[in-house]
Amino acid sequence: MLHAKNIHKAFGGVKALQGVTLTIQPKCITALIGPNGAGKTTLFDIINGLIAPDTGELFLEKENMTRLPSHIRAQRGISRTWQAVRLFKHLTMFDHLRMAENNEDTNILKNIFLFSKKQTHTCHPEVRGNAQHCRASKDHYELVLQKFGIDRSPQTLVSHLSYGQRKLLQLAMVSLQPHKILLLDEPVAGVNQVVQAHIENVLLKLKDEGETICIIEHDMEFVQKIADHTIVMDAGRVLMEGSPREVLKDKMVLEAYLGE
Amino acid sequence: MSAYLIHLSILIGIYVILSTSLNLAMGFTGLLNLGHIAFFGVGAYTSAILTMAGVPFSVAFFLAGAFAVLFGVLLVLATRNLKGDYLGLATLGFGFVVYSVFLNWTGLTRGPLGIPGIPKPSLLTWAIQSNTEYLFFVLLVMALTLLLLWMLTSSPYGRVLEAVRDDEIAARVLGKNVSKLKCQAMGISAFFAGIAGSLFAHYITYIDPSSFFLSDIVLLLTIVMIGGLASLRGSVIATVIILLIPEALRFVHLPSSIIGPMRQMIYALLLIVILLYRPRGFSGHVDLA
Repeated sequence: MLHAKNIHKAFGGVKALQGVTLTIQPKCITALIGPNGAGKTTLFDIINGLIAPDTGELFLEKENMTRLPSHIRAQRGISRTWQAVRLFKHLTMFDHLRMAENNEDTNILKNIFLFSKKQTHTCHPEVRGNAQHCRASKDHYELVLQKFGIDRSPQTLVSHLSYGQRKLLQLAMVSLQPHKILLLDEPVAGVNQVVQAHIENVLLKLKDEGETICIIEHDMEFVQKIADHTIVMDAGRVLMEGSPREVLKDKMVLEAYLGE
Repeated sequence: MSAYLIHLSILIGIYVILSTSLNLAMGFTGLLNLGHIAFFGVGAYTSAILTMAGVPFSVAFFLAGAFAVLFGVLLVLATRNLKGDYLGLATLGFGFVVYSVFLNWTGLTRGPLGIPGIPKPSLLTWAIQSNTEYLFFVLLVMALTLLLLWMLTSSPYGRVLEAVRDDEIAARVLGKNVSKLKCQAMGISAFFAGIAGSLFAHYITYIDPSSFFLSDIVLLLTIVMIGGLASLRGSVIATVIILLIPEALRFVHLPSSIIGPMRQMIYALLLIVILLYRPRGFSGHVDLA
């Protein structure tokens, strides 16, 4: 599905990534683990196009994405959440979901002259998403929010949401955004047990629906519960790959990651 | 209506167009544009020079907007890697550069001598001669501007501009072409500033570079801040108030050498009070930070 080939990235004298080569397999959950500073988030930023690699290439399916700008990569199907939640603080949940759902809102003439608050859209046939051919309406978004366990009106400002609800809204957004792969940066960091259990259920459900998901996570118990495949990174390199069980038994991984 | 009130109303109409268009770029899209007055000047000079060369007003009027758009898009492209205060400084520099061009390109603008005798406009069969007719024309353009800006900012497109303002990176990762959106927002903002410049030039019938200098950007910023970022209604109300307050000074018997600087002091004082005690302005919903 997604293939990174020999990615190098240095920030001044700091070598963040040193020849990372990995493949995210389709229709499963891959966990990217490693100690702080291993280069996981830098790799996500490179996949998203927010940072350009010094060398290396990136392919989504067979398309070379290396030189594409970040908004085109998103349109091609790379969706992402953030460790520190990034939402638009003066907008409502309704606005967020509508923006995630399609890019019709950037068509200036259509928006002025048709005043298309209730526009419909058709997703690209090859792009997966849960909201194909859906109508951007309040009722529809209420259902989406219910599915993700957010018991608030879609018209609620995101600045009025709790941290856990914001995390859930991020998940709702990326799942609504037409996509081929979901990149989730520490989806359960900083949330309580109830929200964590809910996010776990949501992710497993998404996997059952055939989604391709890659998560960065430090909570090894959580990784063991949901991940099918684990990639361990340390000091900008891929240390090893395998099932969570295999990886957590490896002496090298335990030394690098857990300090044992 | 007395000639004085008509004069004030015309100026208020022109400044409503100017302030609401600045609010589109600054309040809705988060582009701290301290060079907005330059678009006003470009529009004024374009329209004045073209009509003096025999181009019909209706054509010159739209070309005034179009030229301002060109400058607006070039400004965004030139400052595409800058944000916040740095963008503010760069756009302020742009304002100074345009002012210098008005002042020094004497072959085109007559420099400090200015351009006198700018003709009153005529639209097809409607020759606008009296100030009352001009007021109707300005109010018509103002109403159309407000309608278009309201439709734009109330639509999903307006929400995307606000998303760009709140978090540019998150907007990009959602698939939004942020560079294009910024160009569009600045272009539309510049267009309306340009046609406001045309209205100003053909009303006053004389322009010189001093009409488009730093003092006017302070006035515009005061209006937008007091009205509130991302609030068209706030900008309209603030324009009326801010333009009327200094008029009260006319009825205080002070020498004219004091009244002029006192206006600037009032604007600056209002700006400071708003920043300290009501950072969202009258009806804004966005923090200045």
